[in-house]
Amino acid sequence: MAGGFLNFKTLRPGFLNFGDSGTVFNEFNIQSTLPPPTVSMQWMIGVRQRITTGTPWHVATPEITTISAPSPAGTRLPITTGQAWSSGLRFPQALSARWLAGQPLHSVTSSPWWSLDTVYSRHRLPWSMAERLALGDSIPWQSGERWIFGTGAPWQAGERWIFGTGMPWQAGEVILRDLVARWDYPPRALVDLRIVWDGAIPAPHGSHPPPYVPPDPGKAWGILNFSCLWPNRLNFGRLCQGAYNLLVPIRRSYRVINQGVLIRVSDGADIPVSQMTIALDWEQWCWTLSATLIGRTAYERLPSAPDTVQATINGFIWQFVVDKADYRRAFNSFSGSITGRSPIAQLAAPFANPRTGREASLRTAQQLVLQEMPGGWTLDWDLPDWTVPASVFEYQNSTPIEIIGRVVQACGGRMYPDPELLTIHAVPKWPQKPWDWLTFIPDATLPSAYTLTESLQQEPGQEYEAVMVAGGVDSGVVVMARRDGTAGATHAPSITDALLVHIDAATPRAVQELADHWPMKRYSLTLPLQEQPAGAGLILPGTTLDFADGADGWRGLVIGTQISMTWNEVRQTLELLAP
Amino acid sequence: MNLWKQYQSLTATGPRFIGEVTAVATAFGETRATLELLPGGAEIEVTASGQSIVVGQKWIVQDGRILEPAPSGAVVNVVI
Repeated sequence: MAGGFLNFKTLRPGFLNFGDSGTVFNEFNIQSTLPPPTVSMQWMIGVRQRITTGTPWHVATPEITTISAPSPAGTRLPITTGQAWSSGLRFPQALSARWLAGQPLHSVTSSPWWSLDTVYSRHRLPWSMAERLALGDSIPWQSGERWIFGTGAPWQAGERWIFGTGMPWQAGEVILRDLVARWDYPPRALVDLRIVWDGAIPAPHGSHPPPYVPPDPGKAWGILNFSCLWPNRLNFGRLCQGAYNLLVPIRRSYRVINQGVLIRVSDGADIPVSQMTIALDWEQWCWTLSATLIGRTAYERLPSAPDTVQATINGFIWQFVVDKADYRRAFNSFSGSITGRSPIAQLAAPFANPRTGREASLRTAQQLVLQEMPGGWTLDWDLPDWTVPASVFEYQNSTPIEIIGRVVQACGGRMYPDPELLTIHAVPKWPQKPWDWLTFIPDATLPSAYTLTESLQQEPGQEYEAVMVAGGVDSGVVVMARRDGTAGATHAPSITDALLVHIDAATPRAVQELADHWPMKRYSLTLPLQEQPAGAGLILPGTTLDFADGADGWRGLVIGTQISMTWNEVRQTLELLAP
Repeated sequence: MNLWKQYQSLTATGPRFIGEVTAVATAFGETRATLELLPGGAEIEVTASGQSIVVGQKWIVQDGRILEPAPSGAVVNVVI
């Protein structure tokens, strides 16, 4: 501080005293010249601290992620399944092998790893000449230096494996081998084993040789088994039950866990029911449902057509349109029931109006059916197809499902909807002829061990030998169908149908008419409903099966299936026909 | 058994046949025709009132009455 001003304004006791305060005349001035102020600045030189950042050895370096390792087979692996190299996780410390964990080798057998120089082979001493190493020279394991990770090969982008570098398969040359086996001289036969016939002498008097007992030749005889039929081969008329496609294996016991539910399809709301019955007959064109409701809530949750409900019983699914629903309410009681049909019911009354018309264009049978089906539905046609001339097919006061049924039945067929899908199956009513019942291979075999009940009812009929089927007066054909191997002496009532304008349609129709009159046995089987392979599954009408009951059995055609569910059991009842 | 089939069996009508007209007779204002059934060759006499019957025609008959004309084509024999 080289300059400044004296401050006399602030008096301080005991210090400078200039007397009393003067008047104006006692004023004095002190003039002084102060040197210019000198400013000194000090620069604080900051030294930037160099921070050495080391990369931890356990941190994975990000690598290119788009590279995937192709498989040697040439099939490119999906990117989503490729292991990105940069996504390496921190190597857990717990998994690192610490050297302390090692067990020291015995001093005699342990060999120091790096304490020996390269020994040339000629200077190598045999092991037996080696001297025992002192224990002090051995390096304990815990004194090992930490393995530097940086010396390891880092993860980096691998180069794409080039297929061209693989060794391709090439045509190998035929290796010529001398496979000729030279004939050698056979060994000399042993002549000592030859049995020489000697002169027979009579037995001594009184001796009785034992009776000759022929040796047991094993099974030198038996019964020819012609029971297993083979198509177009020998037919001895006896069936081999259980030879084809066993639906369910024969077991000592079968365990079924039943489960059934009825829901509203639109939102999945549960409709409580105490009983359900689902049935399909070969005379019906749709599955039918009847159920008993529990409580008023179940009734209120029923949708109105065309909304559907879905029944699920032991894994099998059906969909229905509710046709009729009613309830009865009394004091402390409520009872309700519903009936339903497959969604194809929208083509029938009361959902579809009957029509009257005539097909003015040439159509095939399939086209006549397809033009009556609503959008979204598919047709599974397993019948012969034929051409129907224009103005031949006419219908009066018929709903679309009746029109479809008339076309299908014209060629001896029937139809049924798929339980779950929007599909109509058009199949022959009789997949096999009753008079050739022993010559075809059935679809499946059902063992009697899996059935609960079996009942039989005779259905009389006539074994007609011929039938006449005819079309209409316009473009119709007249076909006289005679059973093979017969004279055609007995005739079934004639059939007339305007759609029989081609022999391809008339022939299967004749088969169906003769089969309908055939004397049959009607069997009824009750069995559990369970999915394969644990159970026999859902057996649809039209299935031909062998009912195997040990060595006995019969072959039948399923014409009806009924699924009944109650509180504690689920049963599948089959109706079968067998000649 | 299907209920509809059971009902049909109760109300069943006679079988249909196809026959070829062999003779036509009118008596007391009623036309009657004699037909030879195609399968079997049996002859039956049916009522044909209101129809224009000519010998050689083929007709479909049921329960003693003529229903409708039958196809006039030749009979095709098939073995099934």
